[in-house]
Amino acid sequence: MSRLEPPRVSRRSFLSLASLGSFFAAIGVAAAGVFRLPNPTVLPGPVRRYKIGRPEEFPVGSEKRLEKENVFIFRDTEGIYAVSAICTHLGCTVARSSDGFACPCHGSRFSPGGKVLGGPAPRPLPWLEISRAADGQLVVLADNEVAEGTRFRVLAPSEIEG
Amino acid sequence: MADTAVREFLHNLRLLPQTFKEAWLRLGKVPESEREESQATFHNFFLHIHSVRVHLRTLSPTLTWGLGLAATASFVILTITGVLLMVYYKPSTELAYQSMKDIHFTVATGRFIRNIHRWSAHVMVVAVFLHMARVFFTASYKKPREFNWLIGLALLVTTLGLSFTGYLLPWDQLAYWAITIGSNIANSPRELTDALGITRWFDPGGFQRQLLLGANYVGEDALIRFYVLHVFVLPLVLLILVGVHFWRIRKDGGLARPEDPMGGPAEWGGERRPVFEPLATKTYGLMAVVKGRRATVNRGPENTVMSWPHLLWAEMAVFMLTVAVSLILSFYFDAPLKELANPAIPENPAKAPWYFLGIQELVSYSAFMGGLVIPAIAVLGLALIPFLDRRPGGEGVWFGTPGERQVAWQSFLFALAVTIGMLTFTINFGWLRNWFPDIHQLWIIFINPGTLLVLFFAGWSLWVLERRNSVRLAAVALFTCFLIGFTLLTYFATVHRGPNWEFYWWPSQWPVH
Amino acid sequence: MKDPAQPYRGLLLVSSLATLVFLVAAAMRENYLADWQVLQREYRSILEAKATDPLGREVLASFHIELRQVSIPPLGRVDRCITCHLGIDDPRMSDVRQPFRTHSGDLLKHHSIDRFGCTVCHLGQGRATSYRDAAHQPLAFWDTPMLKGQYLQASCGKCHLGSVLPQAALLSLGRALYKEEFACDTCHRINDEGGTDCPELTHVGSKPLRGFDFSHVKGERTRPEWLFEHFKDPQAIVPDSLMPNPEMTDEQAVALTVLMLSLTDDIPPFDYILRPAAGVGMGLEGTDAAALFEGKGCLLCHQFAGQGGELAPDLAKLVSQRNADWLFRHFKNPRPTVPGSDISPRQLDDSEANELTRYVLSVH
Repeated sequence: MSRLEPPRVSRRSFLSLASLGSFFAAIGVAAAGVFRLPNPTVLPGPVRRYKIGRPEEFPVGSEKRLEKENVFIFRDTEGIYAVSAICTHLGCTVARSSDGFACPCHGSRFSPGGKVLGGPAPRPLPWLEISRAADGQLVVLADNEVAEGTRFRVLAPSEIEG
Repeated sequence: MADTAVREFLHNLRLLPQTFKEAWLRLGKVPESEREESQATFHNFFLHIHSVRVHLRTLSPTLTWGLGLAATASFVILTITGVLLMVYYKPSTELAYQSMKDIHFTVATGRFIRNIHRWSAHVMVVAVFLHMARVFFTASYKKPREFNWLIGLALLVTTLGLSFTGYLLPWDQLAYWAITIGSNIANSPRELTDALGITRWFDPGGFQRQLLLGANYVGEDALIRFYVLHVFVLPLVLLILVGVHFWRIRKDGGLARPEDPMGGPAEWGGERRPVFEPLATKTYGLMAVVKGRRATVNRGPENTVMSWPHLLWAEMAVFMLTVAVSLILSFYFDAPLKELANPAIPENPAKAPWYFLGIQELVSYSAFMGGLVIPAIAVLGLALIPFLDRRPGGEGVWFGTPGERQVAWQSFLFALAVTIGMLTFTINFGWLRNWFPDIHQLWIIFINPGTLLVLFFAGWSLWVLERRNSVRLAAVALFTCFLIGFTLLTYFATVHRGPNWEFYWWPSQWPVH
Repeated sequence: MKDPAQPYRGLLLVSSLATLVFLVAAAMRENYLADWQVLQREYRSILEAKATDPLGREVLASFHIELRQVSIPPLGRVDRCITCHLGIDDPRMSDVRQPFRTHSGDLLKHHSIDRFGCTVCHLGQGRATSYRDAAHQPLAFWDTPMLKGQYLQASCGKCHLGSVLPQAALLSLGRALYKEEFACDTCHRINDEGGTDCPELTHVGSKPLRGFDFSHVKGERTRPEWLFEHFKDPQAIVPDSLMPNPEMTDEQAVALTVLMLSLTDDIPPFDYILRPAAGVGMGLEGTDAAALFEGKGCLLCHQFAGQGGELAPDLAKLVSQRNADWLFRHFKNPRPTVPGSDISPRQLDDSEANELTRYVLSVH
């Protein structure tokens, strides 16, 4: 060390380390708070729950598209079921095609039951829960996914009588 | 050497952590010699605004009280919390108030963040005011720092502008009525043009108000304008001005301080020795070109120490102190949020933020003089100080020239007596309109307690100028008077003005409606 | 040489530690110790105690500690009451302490929380997440504290416009008293009905609290209390009031207070408004709205209630097919609502279009 370089004051004293440590700890906790805040605690917007009419309005073999809600409603002999129209790849809205559904964005194709037939979609189109409101109308609960094949069973008049 | 490229690749991969660290930190370790410390300072983007060495006087807490740093620190806090609030705030009259409520009730720590934003805004305003007073009373505006004084003044005005524009955003009663008043102050030249009967041809007041509000009422357009000013225009202006302010400190030779005795003994516990060990590469050469009368090249540093780490310690300490003060205030005191703005029912009293209450008291005499002319005179007077007081001496020392402390005390007592006397008189006896109900508005505009106060202060300052034969002392007299007058009026309007702007000893005596 | 940075190191240590302490305290206070979180933890233990059958276990399994809210855009409301009132629709919770208890009565059966929320009836601050902020009690800077007890009936009047509503006896009594017993409408005005010499009552129920002079009120400084004491003795509350002292019973005063409280500017959208059963008019026949309808010449082309021309569709049919919003827009500016039609616009302002919508809906 040069004659001109005086001996150093010890900076690594306990006080230095303690104050630097607490400084960075405080900054760290503050940063955690900063990154916590933009994550919404509660999602805005209403529950996605749509009334679609009475069961009688869906004759066997019919299908209906709810445009705004992005849901397809099908009625077959076993009952009524709802399939989400939101592609499981990247969220575009699928359209009806000859063999089921086709996604216009990246070419995913699905069967009428939602199974992936081709393209990049990683999983089938979800089936949505259907229940019945107090006034007798059917309600699609678009936030609740149900197992594929879960249908809302429409009781025949005879069953109601019984 | 068929496999050397592969080996080189793997070697480089192994060294990646170290080479990345070197590329990023340059030095890559805690500096151990002064040479490394100097490099740590000027090789770092954020630190190179510092000079490599700093005078011991500059580090003395009692010279600056860290006020400029505290103001900067609160601006940093405000920027961070402000961006966070922007994530949830919705600038529309329909949604603004609701989004404030959501920030309070559902956003994780949202209420706390808003409190911090509010409190550090107060801290910033206080720090900026006190910083200005510090610079004045230590005569630090003198040559070559005249221009930086002006930048500082611009920073003061920008800071107040930021506070004012932020006031409207919650869209509650407090906000709505404070901005209604504020925008009508902008409209107040009409008081004069109406009195002269020329508003039809020349209407600067209406123009200013319309520019501010984008409409002839406080509504959606005003909210968006205030929002844009608050989150973009003014912060940008402030950032640029702060940058220039800091840069000028460097270029003007650091903080103002008295001359070190030439070659004399180190008076601040420093020592005499060359700045750096002689080296072939002399990187500090250009760094030391400053405007001061004496550069420190090739001369003993005497009373200076390395900026890294000494100045950094001071900066971190003041920064964290500011953070801590804001946090503690925010923890215990919630920022106010009143009812949703209702244009049909005015707040009574509708008070501006506290730092404008002194002006609001003046406005209660005459909107034009109190809201525009007197503040303009004050700003103009402040701007002229370094150009009228050009005799060197006393830089960097509190009350540095003979007689300053005495004049400051005398002015303090004078301003105290005159302001309290004027307020007492006005409250007890009223003013011109109470005596002559039909008096022309022009009389009120030019002769009111506010303008008389200014005249008293100016007269006192002229008397000091004449009697003590010193421009600096006259400036001290005037500055002290304005400071005391402003503080007293602010206190008075905060505590003693109640509904209908009437006098009350305490807010607890306000009538229940 | 003395180290000039030494005091700053001490200051840094102290302020950093203070910052740390207060940051952690604030994070705890807002993220872990908030009232609603404490309550939800208590509710979970109640759920655990009641998880004796499969349904109970399922409910417990799907219970998470989180903010809950009902968002109802048509009503402009976000109600977070269910964050603490957790058992509101769980019939098993009729025996637990508030705020967890089941909603009383069978009102929720017809007023589902998803469609109505809470504050449209109870008032208070729905966005709040603490007892105090929700304005269970009068709260500074919040204009609509919750309605309590019998006064709650006032909210029924927002949607149930018919004159008689058996479930809201006081409201019905108030409506009857207003016109028949005390003939308030000879002097006071509601909407377009009544005299003009006395203060208008159209939105008296939502008049800002600052607009009331509480200096003579003996009880709580609330709207119901002001109104009640005023009905009992007008001059005691408004000393220079010209209103004759009606000398009413407590019940009558409460009934009229309920009626006043039902007159708010917080009017739900038309879809929510319940028209009285067939045959009971809304009392709009023969009013200004009817005159407006006739005056605007709608019947020149439209069929309505058995009268009018045949150039345009039957209005009664339209009413059954379209919603109130469509009708409103149609009255404001008909052409965009019926593409290709050559119907001529009628220059109606918002309130007139509103009136017409109400009228057409009521007569149908």
